[in-house]
Amino acid sequence: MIKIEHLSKTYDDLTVLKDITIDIKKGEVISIIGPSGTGKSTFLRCLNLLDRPSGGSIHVDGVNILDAKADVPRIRQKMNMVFQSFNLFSHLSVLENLTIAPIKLRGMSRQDAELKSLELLKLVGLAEKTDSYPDELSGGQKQRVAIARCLAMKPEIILFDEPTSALDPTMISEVLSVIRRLTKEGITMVIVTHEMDFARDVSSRVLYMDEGLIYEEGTPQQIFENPQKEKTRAFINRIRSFNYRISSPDYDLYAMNAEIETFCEKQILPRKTRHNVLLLVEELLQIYSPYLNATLLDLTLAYSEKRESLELVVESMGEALNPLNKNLLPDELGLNIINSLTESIDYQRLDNRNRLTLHMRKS
Amino acid sequence: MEIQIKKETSATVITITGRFDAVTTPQYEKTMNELITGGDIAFVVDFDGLDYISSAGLRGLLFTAKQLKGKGGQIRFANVKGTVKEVFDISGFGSIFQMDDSVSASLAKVS
Amino acid sequence: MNKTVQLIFSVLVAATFFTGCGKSGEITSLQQIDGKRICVLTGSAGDLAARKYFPKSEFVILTASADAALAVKSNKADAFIYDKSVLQSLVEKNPELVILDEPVSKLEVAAAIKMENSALQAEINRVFRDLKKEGALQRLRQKWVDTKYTTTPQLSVRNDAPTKGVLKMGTCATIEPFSFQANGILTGLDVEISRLIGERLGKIVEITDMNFEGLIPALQSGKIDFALANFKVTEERKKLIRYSDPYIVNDISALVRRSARPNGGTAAAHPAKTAAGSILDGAKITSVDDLKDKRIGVLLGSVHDTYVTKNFPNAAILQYKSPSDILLAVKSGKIDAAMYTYETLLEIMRSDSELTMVGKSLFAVPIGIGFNKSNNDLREKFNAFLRQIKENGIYDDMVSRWIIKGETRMPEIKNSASKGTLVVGMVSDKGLPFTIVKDNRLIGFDVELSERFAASQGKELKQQDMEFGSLIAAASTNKIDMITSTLMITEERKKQIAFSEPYYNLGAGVFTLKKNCAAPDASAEKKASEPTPPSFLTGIANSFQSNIIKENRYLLILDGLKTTVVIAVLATIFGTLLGALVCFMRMSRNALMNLPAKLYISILRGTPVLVLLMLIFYVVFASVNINPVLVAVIAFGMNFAAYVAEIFRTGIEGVDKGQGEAGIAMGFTRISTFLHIILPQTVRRILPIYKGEFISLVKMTSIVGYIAVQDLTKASDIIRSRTFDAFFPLVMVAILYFLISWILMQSLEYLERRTDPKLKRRKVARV
Repeated sequence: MIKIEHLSKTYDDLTVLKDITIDIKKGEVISIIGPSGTGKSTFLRCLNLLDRPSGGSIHVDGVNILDAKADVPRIRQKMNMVFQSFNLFSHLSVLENLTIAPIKLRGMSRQDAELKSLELLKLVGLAEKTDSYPDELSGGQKQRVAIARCLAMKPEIILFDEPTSALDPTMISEVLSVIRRLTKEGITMVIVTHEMDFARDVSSRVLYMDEGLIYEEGTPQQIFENPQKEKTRAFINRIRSFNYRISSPDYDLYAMNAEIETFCEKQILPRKTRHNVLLLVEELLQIYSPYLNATLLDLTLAYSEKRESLELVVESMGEALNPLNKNLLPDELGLNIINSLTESIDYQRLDNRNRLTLHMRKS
Repeated sequence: MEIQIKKETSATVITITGRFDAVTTPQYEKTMNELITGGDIAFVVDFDGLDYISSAGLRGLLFTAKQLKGKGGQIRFANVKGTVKEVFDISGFGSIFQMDDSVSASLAKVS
Repeated sequence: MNKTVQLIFSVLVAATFFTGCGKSGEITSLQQIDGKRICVLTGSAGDLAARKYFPKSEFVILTASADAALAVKSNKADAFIYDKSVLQSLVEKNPELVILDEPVSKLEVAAAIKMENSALQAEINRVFRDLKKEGALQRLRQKWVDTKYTTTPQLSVRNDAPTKGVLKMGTCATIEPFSFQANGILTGLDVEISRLIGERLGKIVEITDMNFEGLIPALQSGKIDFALANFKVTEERKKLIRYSDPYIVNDISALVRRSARPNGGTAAAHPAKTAAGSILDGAKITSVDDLKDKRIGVLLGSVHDTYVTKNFPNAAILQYKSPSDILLAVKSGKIDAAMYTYETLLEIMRSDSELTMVGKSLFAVPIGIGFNKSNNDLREKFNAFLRQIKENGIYDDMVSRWIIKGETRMPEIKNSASKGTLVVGMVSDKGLPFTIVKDNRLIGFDVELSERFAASQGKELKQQDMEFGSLIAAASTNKIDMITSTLMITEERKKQIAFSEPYYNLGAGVFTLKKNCAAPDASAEKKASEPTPPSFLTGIANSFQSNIIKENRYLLILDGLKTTVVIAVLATIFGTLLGALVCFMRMSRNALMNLPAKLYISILRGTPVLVLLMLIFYVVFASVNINPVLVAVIAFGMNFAAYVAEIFRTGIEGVDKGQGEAGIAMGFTRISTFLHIILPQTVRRILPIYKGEFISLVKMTSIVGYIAVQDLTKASDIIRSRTFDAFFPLVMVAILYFLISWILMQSLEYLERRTDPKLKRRKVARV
């Protein structure tokens, strides 16, 4: 349906998109993930010519939209876009936001347009807000209206530019559920998102974009569970894990705790698990404290899908060292606690590094 | 950690709330030191508002208890529950210390 | 006095005390001072005298005589009792103050010396005896005290006697003419005497200036050897210091506010007749020479302006823009007298009983008809015409009718009007007998002259009414053929236009309020002819009658109103459209478009509209015969456009860019996105500011008189020049401008309401 060949985009000296070639087939739901600032949104905006590509070609249903003679507004009517900042028309009511395009661009009568729009609003669960104005709605409601507005023109393809990035966590799910339902309708969708679980759930294909290219692509299973390429793997891991470096014995326990708590919240871990993670980390660090003058400690906390549990990895450089040896410890209090919280503890020596891997018990 | 001190007829009641970890244990030890030097020898510690305890906290409790023993004093713990109780159990503290279900029970048992 | 009288007296005192402001203490004799507020300088002889003679008064104690004068002037005190010679300098500078004839007491002035220093006292006494014998003291008194000098006299004694030592003198340099600062140096009678003392004793005198109260302590402590500071000899002081023999004997008098009426009655209720600042009591205007130090009003840039500036350098000259303003100023007392065209004044005096001429016509200025320099032909024709009517008696008849008798009937003049047109520029509110508007047509000597001339040439007469200041420009750019507006022939003007032979000699007369004149019969006449001040309402009814109804003057106003509205509305429409275009160019990314737009905006916003108006009329369309109303629409429209462009731009940029993108993403073209999404929000945003600029535009149109458009403001000027009533026409015109703005504002607000989406819903909700 959309054939993109060697698409590139340069702003002054900065090359945002290097060389993108991809086919988007009808009915596909494609998620685009990747680090910020790597051109995901720019790519999306090139598809409907909100930004003009510097090179390459884009064919929509066989029509080269970069051609000077192309009737771009008409082509755009086949597509539509949901923005991160909603972009509802603030001088129109919710209903009017939906009806304006059908009336002005498709020549529909006001009555028909309103009827159809009302149905769409029911679909997104906002039927009672027809006469409200955008500034009276919450973020999640605005985005749902924006989606309904998109649908009003019956587009063949909808582009989502980070649709939930501007919403606070409580409203993200209401919007995601609307998008989820749409995927079942057979509309072609291209979604730029940071919601990994969601992307995994609904996509037929996932693109990982980095360095201005489609770095890796595949099915959700391929990308999320078995990333092939180095960067993809790093990214997937990073999203799902927490890193902290301890460089001195005077480390700030509470600062680190705060970050751990944020990570746990993001993964929506239960309170008890959170408590156990904090306790485990504190006990570990307590045991490591005599060595902190001489070595750095890298902590990585990761949630493992396979085991459905948390894994804590503590790495240190230098001489071979595994301090969890009761002979080295003044008392067994800490060790007992650690043992009670963990399922298994592995010690590995790799190159010059000591790696201690602890798997937490499921709570 | 917040520490509240209330002197009852039979003992001094210490109510601790918040976290009892490597950062806050010194505060506990200092407070207890002052009270013991001041002459108090009978204590009841109320754990009702405590959310968290680590080995550092356990050591602090142990230290105080030893101090008191040397002076012929006593210390009882009240309202130890939840995750704090679990930590006590893991480390065997449940058997070392005198624990009661309420502050009044502890006060009654202080001789 | 028995108790009842005392009680009544105290009540009266209290009553006068409390009914203070505005009407308090009109003092005309010494007896009236007791019980009032008296200003004194600390420790001065005036202080002592005041307390001695007016014990029941309230004392306001200050440290400098200038402050005391100010206090009396501004009604914070009722009298200032002090040395008469000092008071006299004060009165020179403050015409609203006057010295009561009867002095409070007489006191001697002497040098003050330390008590123990009898030697110095003897020396100084010796000097004074010598000076008195030589007549030096009398001369000095003459020089400093008795003559009312206008420039400070110079000290004649040098202070560099061969040194037998130094004498330290103290003084208080705030007492003119004894000891004060002028042109940055210490001078005065006391300073001059100190130099004489130094000279005679062979010593150098070092003068220290200090506060009056500090002088005696300084003497006692030896910081100064003697003090000269208009020191009065008093018993109290004799206990503290030693006095020399007196070197001057002075009066101590009282300085009070000049009372409003010579007979001390209450002021009239009619606002225009309250003479807040009539001239000096002791110096009424008897002749033109008396004007030399008064406040004189003239028409800005006129020959009278030049004359008065040259001949009365000490007078305060106030320049006004129209004769009615001058009239108003004289009548309200803001100026003492004014100079204007003698003939016009005669006419005015015919109907105004408050005014009178001072003396005869001072000088005559020939007036001529102004022509474009290259139009010799027309000029010759006029000169021939003038000669003709002088010969056949028509001229004399005109002078007799208009000027001498003051008739106002325009004779019927037959004109074939077949050989083209004659465009004559005139000023419709110049005044009789030359040009005035009556029953909606121009009449007057000049008008009849123009009509007769046009008839003699068989040309149709077209009269262009404009501001005096624009006449010359109009003639030199050929917008008019001739100027008939009592144009005085001056060298300056000859540089720009050519004059005909003079057709009359205008006198210059000085006039003033009758009550400012000395003639006793004048005041009697005034008393007799002065009408009882009308009540406020009758006053308004009269004004209404004379300003609106009489001679159908309201038609003038309606015409003016129509013109104002037409200009305002057309200029707005033109300006808004042009502004939209400029805004579009300004917002383009193409430098070819946005640079000219930016330039346009900054130039138009930085130029005053009046300048623009005149530029377009006189320069751009110089030789084109264009309707000045059209020029006004263009000029105001262009100015308005510059503001509108920026307002639009702010409005557009204020709309969230994302909404535009959403529109485009949906498939709207750039233009339809703008029309349906951006524009509605822009309009809502900018309407309040746009309203403001629009109202400004409406008010700005009041300047079109400069290019000869008769709008609402000009209509009021014309009426004012007939009735000389400033208040009523102005207020009425203000009300009309307000009404225009208000009505137009309402329509804009209606638009605002219709574009407020939420309002629609609120209405629905209420249903």
